[in-house]
Amino acid sequence: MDAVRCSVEYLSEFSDCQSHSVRVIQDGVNLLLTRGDREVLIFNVLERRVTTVMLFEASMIHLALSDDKHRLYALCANGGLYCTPLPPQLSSSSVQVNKSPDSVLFTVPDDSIVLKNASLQAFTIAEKILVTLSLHKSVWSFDLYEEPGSRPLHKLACFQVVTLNTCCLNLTDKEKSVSSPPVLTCIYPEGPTSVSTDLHPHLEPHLFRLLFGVDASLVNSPVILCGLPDGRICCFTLLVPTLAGPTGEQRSPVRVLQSLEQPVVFIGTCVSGEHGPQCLVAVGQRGKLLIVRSKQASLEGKKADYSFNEHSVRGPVLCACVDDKRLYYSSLSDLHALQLTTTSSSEATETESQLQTLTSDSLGVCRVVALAGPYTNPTGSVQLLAVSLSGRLLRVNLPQGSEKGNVPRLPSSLAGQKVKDLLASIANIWERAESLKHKLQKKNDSLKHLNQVIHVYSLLLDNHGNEKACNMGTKHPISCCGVARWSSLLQRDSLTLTCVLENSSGCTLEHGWTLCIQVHPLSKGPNMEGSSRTYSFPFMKLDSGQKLDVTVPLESTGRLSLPVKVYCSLVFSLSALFSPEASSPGVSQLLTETGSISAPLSTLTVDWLDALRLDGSFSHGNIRHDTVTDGIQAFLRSRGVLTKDSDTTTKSAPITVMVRVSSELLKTKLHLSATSSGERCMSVLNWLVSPEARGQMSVQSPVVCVYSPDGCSVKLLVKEVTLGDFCSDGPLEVLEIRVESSSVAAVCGLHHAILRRLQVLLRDSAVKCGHTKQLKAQSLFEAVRHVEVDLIPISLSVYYTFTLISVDLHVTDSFAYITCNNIIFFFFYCQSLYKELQDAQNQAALGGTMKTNKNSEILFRIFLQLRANPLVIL
Amino acid sequence: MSVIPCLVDRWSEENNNIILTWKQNERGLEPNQHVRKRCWSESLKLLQKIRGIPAATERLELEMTVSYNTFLFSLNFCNASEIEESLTNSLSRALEACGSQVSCSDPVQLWEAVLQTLGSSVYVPCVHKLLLIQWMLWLMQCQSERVLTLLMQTNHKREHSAPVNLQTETRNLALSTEEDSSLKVAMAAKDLKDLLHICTVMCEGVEQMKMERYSEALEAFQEAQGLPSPRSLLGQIHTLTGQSFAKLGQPHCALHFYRKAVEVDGACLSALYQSALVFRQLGNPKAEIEALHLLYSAVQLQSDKSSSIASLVSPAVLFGGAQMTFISRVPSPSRILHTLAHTCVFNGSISDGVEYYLDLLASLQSDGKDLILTGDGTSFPRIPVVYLEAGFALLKAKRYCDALVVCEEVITSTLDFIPERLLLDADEKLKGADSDVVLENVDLVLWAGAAHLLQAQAHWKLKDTKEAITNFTRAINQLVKVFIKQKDWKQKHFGNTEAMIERMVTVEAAKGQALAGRGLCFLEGGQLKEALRDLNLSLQMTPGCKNTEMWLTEVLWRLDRREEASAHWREVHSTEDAPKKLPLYLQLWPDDTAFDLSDLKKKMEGYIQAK
Repeated sequence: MDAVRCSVEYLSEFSDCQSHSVRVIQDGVNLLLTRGDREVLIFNVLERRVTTVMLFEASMIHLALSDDKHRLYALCANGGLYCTPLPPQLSSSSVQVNKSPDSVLFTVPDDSIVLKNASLQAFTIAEKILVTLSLHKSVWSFDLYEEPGSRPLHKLACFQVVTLNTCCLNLTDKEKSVSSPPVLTCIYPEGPTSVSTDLHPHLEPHLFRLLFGVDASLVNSPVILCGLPDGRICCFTLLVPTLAGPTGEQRSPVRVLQSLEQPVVFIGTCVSGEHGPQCLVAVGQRGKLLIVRSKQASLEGKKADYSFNEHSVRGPVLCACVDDKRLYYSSLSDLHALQLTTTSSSEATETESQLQTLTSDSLGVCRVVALAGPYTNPTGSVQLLAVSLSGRLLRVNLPQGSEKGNVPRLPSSLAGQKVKDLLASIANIWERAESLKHKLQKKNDSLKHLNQVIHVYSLLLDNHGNEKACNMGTKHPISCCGVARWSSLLQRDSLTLTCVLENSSGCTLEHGWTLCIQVHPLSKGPNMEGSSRTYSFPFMKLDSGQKLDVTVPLESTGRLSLPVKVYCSLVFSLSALFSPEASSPGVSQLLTETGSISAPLSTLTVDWLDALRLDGSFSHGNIRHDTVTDGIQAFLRSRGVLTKDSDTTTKSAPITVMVRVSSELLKTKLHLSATSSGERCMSVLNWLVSPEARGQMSVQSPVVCVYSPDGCSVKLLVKEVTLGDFCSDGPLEVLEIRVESSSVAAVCGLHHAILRRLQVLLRDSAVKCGHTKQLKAQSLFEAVRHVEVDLIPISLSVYYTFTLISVDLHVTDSFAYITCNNIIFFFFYCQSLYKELQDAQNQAALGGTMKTNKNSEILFRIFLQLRANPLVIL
Repeated sequence: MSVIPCLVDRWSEENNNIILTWKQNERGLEPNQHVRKRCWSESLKLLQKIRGIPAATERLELEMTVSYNTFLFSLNFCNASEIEESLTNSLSRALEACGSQVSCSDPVQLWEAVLQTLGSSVYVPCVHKLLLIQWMLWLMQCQSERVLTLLMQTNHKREHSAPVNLQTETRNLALSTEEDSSLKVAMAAKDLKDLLHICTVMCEGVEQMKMERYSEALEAFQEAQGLPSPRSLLGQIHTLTGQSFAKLGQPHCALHFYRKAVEVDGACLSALYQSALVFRQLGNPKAEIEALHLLYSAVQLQSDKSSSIASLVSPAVLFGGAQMTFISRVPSPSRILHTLAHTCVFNGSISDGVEYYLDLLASLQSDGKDLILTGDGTSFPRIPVVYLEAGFALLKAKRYCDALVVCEEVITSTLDFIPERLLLDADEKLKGADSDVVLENVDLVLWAGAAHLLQAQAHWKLKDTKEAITNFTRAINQLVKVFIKQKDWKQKHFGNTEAMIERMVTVEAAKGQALAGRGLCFLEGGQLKEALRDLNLSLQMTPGCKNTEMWLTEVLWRLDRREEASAHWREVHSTEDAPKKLPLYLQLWPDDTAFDLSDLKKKMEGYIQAK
């Protein structure tokens, strides 16, 4: 909307104002200004400075100039009405007497009080008569005094009006009246003989006569209009107040014209016509606007009349002023210019004209508490002087165009367009607001989401930290466990791992979480660089108590390499918090860089034991022979190297590996209840072959024939033997776990798997096995040394490379560990062997002659020796 | 201890200096209000200084004297309650100085205590000075009861069994008023006492008058006459005496006293006004006009000179506002002028009346307007009425063009208010405001009609018959807008107000005059039928109008309806013009007939004798 553009000049700035008693009077270039304190400032507009400060005894309520503008009347809060002559340089404003830059301080003496009456509320001066209004015991009295008169003033007359007994007035007469003092306005009839005083408004004779009667009109007497705080607008003829009533008696001169029913802020005249202003305007504090116009006598001889039109503007109205066509009023938030028009001649268009009167333009000046003017300056523009609540003196220059009054009414087509535009802009703004609301909502959601994520994360970290403390005892709120299974797909059997993520925590895993399963082969072969694989399963939602099953293949690139370690973790991607379009580029960059948090859930190991098959349900044709041996053989053959002897060795007789464990240890560790040795053996076998997942006793004998993943048959057997010479304090019952197979790989793999299981089983109970058996230190030592001496110099057979395991080293001083350490040594040596083997292979690749045969021979011998003196795990 | 006497001396000197300044000012030709204010503030400062130290007997005399002076000076600047407060303070300090306990602040009891404690001491003169102040304050507030109590307390030593009466108490009051030459006072206690005495008596009289007990009032005033008093006060006493006589039905006695009053005090306006009222009552317009004229000139003279209060204590201050307005009530100059003009015109001295009316209109219209006020509760006539009266006077003074202009003013100003039709229902009982509105409307119609009527008459006098007929017609058109539902409203009284009946009679009279005037115009123009119709209608409106009857006779004669003409002729001579209470501007005048009636008389008498 095109607001009326106006320019605002800051003339000066004073301290804060009392909103209800700020008054500005302009007298030529000088401005009399009070802010409701004890001072009246005389401000020179041209020089833009305060020339004189008049200091009164009490704070100011009202201010007025005498008719000849030589005296200033001021009503103060102490009830005194002061009359003081204006400083001489003011009365002769053309002569610049006072050139000094400092303003003159002039203290108004005590004896300039002309009237003292604590109930005085307002006053005005017209026709050398001082009219005061006082409120005493709920009676408003108008007192007329001679001006300038002797002191005390000679009272000419007094009329009284009883206050309305409205509740608000009853409460606090004083308080109420202070907040909205009554308004006294003197209105002159416009006429050829009337003196044009710019201090008082005029009204065209016709309306004046209609409103105020024949008598006032005939005498050309000004009329005093009074807007009382109760909303009534009273009037009396100043010069002929006491006239005979219709029946000859004296009647009350004060007549109530109309009631606004809200405190009156302003009374004035507006809309210049041929014979003067054509409207009487009154403005109430809460925005009621009363416009009184005359209705012309129509041809039918109907009595001419006047009409009261009431309108509403947005209150509260603090102050107002009028010029020829406009009413300027200030609400606290803005200064408005309201275009007023004369009433149209025909009745039909009256409603339209009323609408027209209400086109109010915002001038965009806020917090104005007092107005003076408007004045037309020599260049023709209209100016208002305003005082803002913060004490600023402003000069508002109104635009030229509006002054001419030719603001064209829009034709209806354009108006329609304008309305459309307005509606469109409203829609735009609505959209913007809506999107902002949406964004805010999103941010809130994100924060909520993030909060939940962090909660979940802390829950997971707690899990992890407490893993050792509460190993098996309590179930974790969020857990993941996996089982390896054989499955057949497209006539191919493959080993898969089924992981179950269970959310037994109280909170829901929302969108953005991903279950990551990393499969990491422990063995490292020559073609197995970077063979660890990660499978991620994003899920939308996992409510509390729900489970998520996922299956991942354990084979990679067509081959199965056991054992594998499986790391399960939950990952949250931060980018899920933001919708892609919402996040700013910076944020998305940050997210791509460090965009996720992950929490480990659990670590699983899948070894040969897990991959065994109890049944021989698969066809033999499926069995792959692409074992490492075959591969190496093929490689060697291609090089023209024959490895016949090793081949024959593997084929000739089954290889056996044995692990001995103290049966007592196993009994306590596995909580075996069985008493007979046979049952004990079966239990142990069951534990090995089908741990908890495979249900109840699937093995019914101490000997079980199973198939390795590569299809070789493997015999596992457990039996109890007694070692007489092992322990110093008598014979030792041990369980002997034996693996027999024709496949070296299977034997090694299973050997390692069994040892690993035992290690896991024994790891955290090492301290508990404190019943130190006196071992025959001598033989053990011998065994150790033997191994050391024999194993260090030699290279190990090729297939051992597959059994390389990284095992955490737990070096303690306990005896049980020494045996364990044997294994570790073993692996260590294997590792070194592997290195040597690699070197040898490199040499072979370079075409150098290899002494593999010899090496393998030695290696095999040692291995056999090792088998012959198996480890006993206590 | 040596400091105190020194202080007393210094303060005494200070006091004397202030009084000296005042006395010089008082003796001067133009007493200055500012001097008085300065004296007041200085003596107030002195009093504050004295009160700054504890009261003691050796300073009591000084303190009381300074208080007395201060109170006298402060009369114009403070209100009574402020002074009274300060007075109570003084009394308390006096009691303190004598060592008695001050228990209450009620002035009556305080005075009792003071009089008991100090009544027989050397401080009596000072105490009595303050007592005078108290008396004065209570008099200003019209609290004669308390004055009586106070005076009785002062007199209580004397044995008396007579009924308690303020007059006797005042008369018997014995105050020690001897002055101490070392301590000067602004006004001698004796002078103040005399002034208070006479004012108290006058006050009593006025109160009696207000209660319409005139003989008692007369007694009081007669006592007051015997007392020494300033001239202006004596004039007022005479006026009040005259008023009492007038009320008692002795206008000649009243006139005697009014004359005495004017003899004593030439500026006693109320006496002039009251005598004018008496002359009117006696039916002596010449004397009334003379009195009013004197009054008007006196008022104008008085308004020229600025009224300054020369003396320290003026009777105007002593009598409260209401009392003073009652005593010296005089209407405003405008009101006097109107009364004068009206009386002149009404009693036939047209040329004077016209001048006065023109003066009045000028004063209403001039830029230096006067506030038209009526101090005595009477009201100023409505402005259109004044205009119409002026127009009428101008018409009678044969200043027709001026009359036209003045009436035009009334017509334009009332134009907007004339309703299309004004139907009055005599049965309808209107109350208060509604009735006022209806009456106002009737008035407006009446004024407009009368203005047209006067204009028509002016045109008629200017021999512009056509314009006259037009204006008569306009007048008729305006006046017939007022219409009463009931036909017989004249006979029956519908419980309507007097004012309404009066208005209706006036409207009917105006209608009758307008019709008659138009009839006369037609008669002159030879349109006899129209003339006959109008004159008949006019007679219906206002039966018994001699002129109309005669014109009708003439018309009938000319129409050769001689029998009817002779019948009318006889009728005219048998009936008398009923005296009607009509406004001045509708008064009938013997010279209204434009043509010679003697011709008609000759014709008719010849015809009747011939029969």
